Amino acid sequence: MILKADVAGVSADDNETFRGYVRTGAIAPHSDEEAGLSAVRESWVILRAGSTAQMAISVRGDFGKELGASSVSGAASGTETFVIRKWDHPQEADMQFVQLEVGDASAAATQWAVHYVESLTIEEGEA
Amino acid sequence: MATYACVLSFQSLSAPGTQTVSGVVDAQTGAAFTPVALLPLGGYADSLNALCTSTSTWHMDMGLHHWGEGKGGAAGCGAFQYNHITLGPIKVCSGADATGYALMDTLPFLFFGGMITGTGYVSAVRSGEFDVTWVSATRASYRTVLVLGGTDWDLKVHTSIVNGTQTTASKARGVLWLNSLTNYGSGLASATGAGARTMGFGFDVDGSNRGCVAQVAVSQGPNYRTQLFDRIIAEINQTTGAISTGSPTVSAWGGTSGFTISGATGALSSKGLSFSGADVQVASGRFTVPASDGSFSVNLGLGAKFVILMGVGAASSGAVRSDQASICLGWTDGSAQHSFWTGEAWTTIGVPLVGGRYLSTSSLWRMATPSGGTTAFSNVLTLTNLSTALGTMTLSASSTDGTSPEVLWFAVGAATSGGTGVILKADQPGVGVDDGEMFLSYIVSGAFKASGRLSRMAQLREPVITGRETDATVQATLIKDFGLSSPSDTVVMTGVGETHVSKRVEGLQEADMRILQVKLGDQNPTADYWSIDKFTGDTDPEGESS
Repeated sequence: MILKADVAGVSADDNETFRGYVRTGAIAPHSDEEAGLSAVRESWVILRAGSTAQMAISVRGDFGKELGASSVSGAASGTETFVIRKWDHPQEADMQFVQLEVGDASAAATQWAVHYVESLTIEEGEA
Repeated sequence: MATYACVLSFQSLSAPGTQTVSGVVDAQTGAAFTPVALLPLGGYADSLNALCTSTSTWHMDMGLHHWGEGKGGAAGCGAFQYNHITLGPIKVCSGADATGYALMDTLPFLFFGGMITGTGYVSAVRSGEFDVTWVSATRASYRTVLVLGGTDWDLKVHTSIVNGTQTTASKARGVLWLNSLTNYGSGLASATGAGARTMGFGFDVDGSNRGCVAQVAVSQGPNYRTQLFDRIIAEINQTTGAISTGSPTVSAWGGTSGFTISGATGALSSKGLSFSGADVQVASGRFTVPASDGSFSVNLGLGAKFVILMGVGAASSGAVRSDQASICLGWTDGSAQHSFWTGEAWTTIGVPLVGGRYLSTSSLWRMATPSGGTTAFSNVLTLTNLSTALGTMTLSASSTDGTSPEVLWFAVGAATSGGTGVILKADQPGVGVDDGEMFLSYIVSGAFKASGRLSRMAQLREPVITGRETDATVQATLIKDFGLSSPSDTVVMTGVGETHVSKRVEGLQEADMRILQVKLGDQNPTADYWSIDKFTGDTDPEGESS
């Protein structure tokens, strides 16, 4: 049986909770012929407002060689339709390729929607 | 379309004479009109919006007057409590008819089979008002009146329900019946009838539903009530509690005029008012009052000029309840909403009656278990909106008791100006209404990063709208961070003769935003016409911020 997780507003598929996440493609923001390294200074994510669940946000450096994680919530403070969340991760450095992953930390019945992710990177020295 | 409806109330005279009732204004257009048909309804209502228990009894007086046809008809019934010396309170009920009158007051009386204490008729009609002449009057009493006028519908009085064809001037759409029948001979005669009389309303509609409500209080006997969805009138036999009039219905509607009645047991002398015309629409149905307080909508399927609600506080069925007499009829023209409730409970000889009346000018329907001066109303319905565009009626239910009584409705009007079956396109340049309806239109831009990156907030300076020169008012709303705050301001796109103008929106010079969106358009539904070319502004990054 194929579970499609395609029913809007329903967070369990055939009564099974599942882990959902989105992962960006890998970007080498400061790579050049000498394989420059980057440090991720801060990441921003725009989520649909409403969900109070803690979502995991993580940076994958070099396809998993470097991992850093935190959490964000979609809880609104007013009547906004989307919320803007920031994650400071000053320890995430020394990576050539950067990916961001946002979603469930584990199988859960939470509902969320990611609208946009953005990271600010700085170039380190050659390595 | 020249069809007019108005709901109003007035207090009758306490002595013979003529009074002028003003305020005949079509609720939807605001135009004063000359009455053509009038339906008065009341029953010894000493005051408005208050429980009337000067006699702890039920009373109901109804009538119909069609000015053009010169026909009137009134009927009433009520109860009377007589304190017999040895047996205690005795209930006496009597009804009366008054051919040639449209308004009357009945007063049950131990002797003479009851009395007619007030008789009146519409003696003159003018734009915005009508005169009522009281031939006899002894007690001032309030009434509600549904007043109808206009030339784009044919209103015709029918004087009996008998199997066969009834004529109309044009295509008949629906008919409303005054349910006021008696066991003591044909109704709407000129005599004062001793004994009880069934009171209520009924209706039948081409392509829609039929139904009726009926109640009767019997002298020294049980009180009955029933609500039916399979016939247009019902008389309750005061001895057996059975329905004695068969199942009259309109069995056929003429292609160009007239309608045929069948199923009646004998000739039932009852006044009816039919609605005919090429563009006239009539609809009917029923709904259940919600079990808990709140707002709900009824789909009428037409743009109503008026709506009538009726019910006895029970579900529609073939059963005749013998617990109490209780009925409420209400009507609205979309603005005014009036209703008349009367009820009475009786157990046996010697036990006082507990009943009363309530004429409301602020609610459309209500129900109660009669309890004299302590009668408490439940399932009160108040009209909050009658939409001719959508063909819906929005009601607010309060004081609900969970019994969810069923209410029958009857509506007359025209096709909706919107809603199902009609597509409004708003595509006529220079025309600010769509099929006669004002509307609100706006555009919302996509979301932009105000400073180019989320880590820095920005401020907006010099917001300017450029567009076609008109006298329209445009509202500009700055949606900051997806709605975290949304300040707005308005500009009027007037110039001094140029084809396009640029207007600065002072109130949108805001700061502290990461995401920026702009909404431009109407503030409220309006007939304004505007055309906007662009919205521009300068954004300045603020310092780095988290």
